[in-house]
Order: sequence, then structure tokens, then C-alpha cells
Amino acid sequence: MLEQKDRSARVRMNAILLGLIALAVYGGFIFLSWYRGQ
Amino acid sequence: MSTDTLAHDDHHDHGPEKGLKRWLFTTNHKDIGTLYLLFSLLMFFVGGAMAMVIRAELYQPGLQFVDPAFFNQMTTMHALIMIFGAVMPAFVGLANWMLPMMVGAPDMALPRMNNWSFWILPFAFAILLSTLFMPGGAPAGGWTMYPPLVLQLGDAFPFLIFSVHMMGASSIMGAINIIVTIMNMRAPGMSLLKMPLFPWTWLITAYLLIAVMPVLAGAVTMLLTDQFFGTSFFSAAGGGDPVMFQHIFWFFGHPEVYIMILPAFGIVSEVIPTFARKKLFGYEAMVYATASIAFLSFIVWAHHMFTVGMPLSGQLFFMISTMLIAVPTGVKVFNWVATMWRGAMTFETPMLFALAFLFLFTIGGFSGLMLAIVPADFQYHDSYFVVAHFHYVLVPGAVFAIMCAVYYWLPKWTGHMYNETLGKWHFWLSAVFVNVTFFPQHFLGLAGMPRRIPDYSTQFADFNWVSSVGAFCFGISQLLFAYIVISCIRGGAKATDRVWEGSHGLEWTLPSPAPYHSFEEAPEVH
Repeated sequence: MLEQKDRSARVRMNAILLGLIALAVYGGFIFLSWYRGQ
Repeated sequence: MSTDTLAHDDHHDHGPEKGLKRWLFTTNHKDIGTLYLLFSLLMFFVGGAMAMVIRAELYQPGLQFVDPAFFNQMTTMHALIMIFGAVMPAFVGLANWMLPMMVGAPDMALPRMNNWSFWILPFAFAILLSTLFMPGGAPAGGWTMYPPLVLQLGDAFPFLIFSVHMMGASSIMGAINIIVTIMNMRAPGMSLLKMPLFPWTWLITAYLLIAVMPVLAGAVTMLLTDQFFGTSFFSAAGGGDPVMFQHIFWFFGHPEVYIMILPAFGIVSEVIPTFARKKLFGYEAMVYATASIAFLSFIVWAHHMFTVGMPLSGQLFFMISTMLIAVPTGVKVFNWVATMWRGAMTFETPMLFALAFLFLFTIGGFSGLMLAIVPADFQYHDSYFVVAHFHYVLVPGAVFAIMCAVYYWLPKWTGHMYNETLGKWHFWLSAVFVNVTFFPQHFLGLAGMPRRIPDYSTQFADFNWVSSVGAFCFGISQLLFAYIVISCIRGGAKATDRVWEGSHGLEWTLPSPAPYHSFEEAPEVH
């Protein structure tokens, strides 16, 4: 098992990455909807 | 780990705070799970009260109790509240309570974000419910929020958009927490393919949530800018396309259906082996079937829109891809039945709910296959057949699975056994009246009764009468559920640690009730 400190860093990185994916999907769909109208 | 941290942890054995602060500031997964479950029970009754208004109005032809505008508000709000306020938070509550205990973790990976995920919800629903008192009333254009109809809403419109954004943010944070917990905090030795099915189905559901909740958020953001900031995403007059909203909405909406049913599959996959006293048949096949269903859920969305018009190739693609979902779902149903085959079965309340789920969800699945057939859908679309279909999937499907889970794990949560006799009464009343309510709606739909109408032709009177009587009885039966849960929290026969003779898994190795902090030292899994 990973040490506590290593694991917290990995937990934080995973959470940030997943949050960024969600933001990218949000922005991506709005962008594509806008681009389709151009 | 530094010695300082160790020394601190040695003196860390405190229980919950006292009073309101415990619930406001809690970072404990069990407390937050309890909050989610109680909130969802409350919303279940609020949404249920709206269903009662709908069924009272439809009890006989003509306009009886409410005016049509209010009726439309009730159908819209009933859906929004039941989907986002009752079913989804109930599953998140179950995940909060059970996932750390099932994977051998001390808590969720991100406890403070967990608190925030929950506490957004009461505000989101306070905002949504407050629209009932605004000029123009609550949202009334259907939960699908199709433009241009939704843009004709009164003052409620921006509040609807804001509350949907809040629900989305809550769900995304909940999903991030679940994925991070499962990927990082499993007990040593618990590889992914040794993990129980409930965490597995939730892991896949959480990925679905992260992929599609932002899509809904994007769609409603664009509605907002169309209304207030001069854009024309969905306005034909400005060069936009209202049908594009429907595509975007259902790209979210169809995976959403699986968000509400995959955790139910996980629950049933826990309960059936326990009461059949056999290992789950085809564990790996169950995992792969869940993943297949999740994948397919992204490529079937336009089956909600056959009547809108699309090329023949589009119709064929979406029809066939939809029918493909029956394959992994069939694998699951087969495996549940095979698990019971030659098992030493007993029929306690959780098992009864799991069995009812198996039969009645399958009915909803079959009517879904009927709806997937394009020419047939041209007839069924927007009829009561659709209402019957999705209520079979959501009530004896998702809601029964939630109740099954509550009865199954309640002794572990409270340390008391619930009243089995009353539990069985609750099951039989629910199982009978759910069918009395929704089965006649198939006939109404096939006979041509449209959905979302407050009045109807007289030839639909008999089946509507039956459906309304069923709905009132089903509604009253649920008060029994609340009574059973509350009395179990307050007292009852002492539950053993293992609770059920056939139970397996880490959560049953803990005492009943489960201690406030569990698995502070990770268990070994072999």
C-alpha cells in the first residue's frame, strides 16, 4: 500500500484531473454548439 | 508518515459532534450518507405528493381539481424532483454509507468536498420548489426543458437553470469522490476484479456522471444565454437549431437513465447471492456487462427523437444500437437467475424487493425494446405507453432497488433489525399497487392516450380510474416504509454483526451498528 503522503498527492491529482475532464466536456459542448452555427 | 502525524492519530478517537453542528460540518461518510438518504426520502414524498395531484386530476375525465397550467407544473416538477432529488441522491447516499466499508477504506477520499456535495442539494431544491410561488408558476414545459417552450416560462426560468446547475455540480463532485475513493483507497489485496458488484456498478456510474452531467450543464447554460444574453444556439430565428437542444439533452438524458439503474443492478447483485446462499454466478460477466451497457448508453440517444425526423440510416443505427443493450442486460438477468438456481433461498424483505426488481424491471426492459422499433415508436411516442415504460424501469426498478438496499443494510447502519412482518406488508402492498398503477397505462398508451394532459376522452376513463386507485394505495403504502425505517432507527431487536446468514463482504466484518470510524487500519483481503 502507498504511504499516506503519496496517496494524498495521488488522490488530489486524480480529483483535479476528473474535475478538468468535466470542465472540458462542459466547455467542449458549448464550443461545438457555437461552431456548428458558424 | 511522520511521527507527529502518528502521535496525532493516536489521540484521534473522537465520536461525532453534538447537535446541529454534527450534520452541518460533518466530513464523515456515514453521516453524509444518512443526510443524503433522509433528503432523498423527503424528496420522494414531495415528488410523490405531486404524483398524487396528477393522478387525482386524471381519476376521471374532465377538469376536476387543478387548472391545466398547474397540472403541467406538477408533471414537470414531479419528474425533476424524483430524478434529481429522490433517486440520484438515494444512490449517492447508499454509496457514501457502503463504498468505504465495502472496499475497506476509513472514509471517502475527499471528505470535505463530500460535505459540500450534499449541502448544495437542499439549496438547489429550495430554489426549484420556490418557483411554485413565482409569477407564472413553476417550470411546466416538461423536465426535458425543450426550447422554445421552456423559454416561455415566467420568472421561474433562471431559477430552474440555476438549480439544475447546482444539482449537476453536486453530482459531479459526488462522482469524483467515488472514483477517487475506489481507485485509491481499496484495502490491500482487493484488486478491481475482487471488488463487490455494488462498488463496481457505482464506479462505472460515476464515470457516466462525469461524462454527461457537464453536457446537461452546457445545454442549460446555452438556454440561459439564449434567453438573457442575445445568443441563438437554439433559436431558429437567429440561425440556431431547436432540434440541436434535443440531441444535446438526450446525449445527457440516455446515460442518465443508466445512472439511475446501474447502481440498482449492483444492489441486486449483492442481495440475491446473500439470500440464495450462493456466490454470484458469472461475476466477471456481470462487470463486463455493466461496462458494455455504459458504453452503449452513449450511442443510443436519438431513439428518444425518432418522431423529430432523421435520415433512415440514423433511424436504423439508433434502433439497432438500442436493441443491442438487451444483450448485456440479458446476461445480467440470466446471471441473477442462475445465482438462484439450486440455491438455499429464503425470502426476507430485501430478497422480495430484489425478486420484484428482477421481474418488473424486465417488463420495463421489454417495453423499451418495443419503443426502440422505429415504426412502432411512431405510434407509441408521447403516449401513456412511454409513461408506463419508464415508470416500470424507475419505480419497481430503481426505487425498489433502493428500498431493497435500505432493508438489507439498515441493521448494519442502526444496529437493530427492522420489523420483518411490517417489511413484508410494505413489500406486498408496493408490489401489488405498483402494477395496478402502471400496468393499465400500457393499455391507455396503446389506445392512443397522450402523456402530459390533464383531461382525456371518455374511452380512457376505466383504465385511468384503476391507475389512480393504484397510485393512491401505492402512495399510502410508502408511509409504512417511513414508519418502518424510523422505528428501526429508534430501536428493535439487536442485529448481529453479520446480520444475514448468507452475507459476505467486508461491511459484515464490522460491528452492527457500524462504528463512527471504520477500518482505521486497512483489512487484508485474500
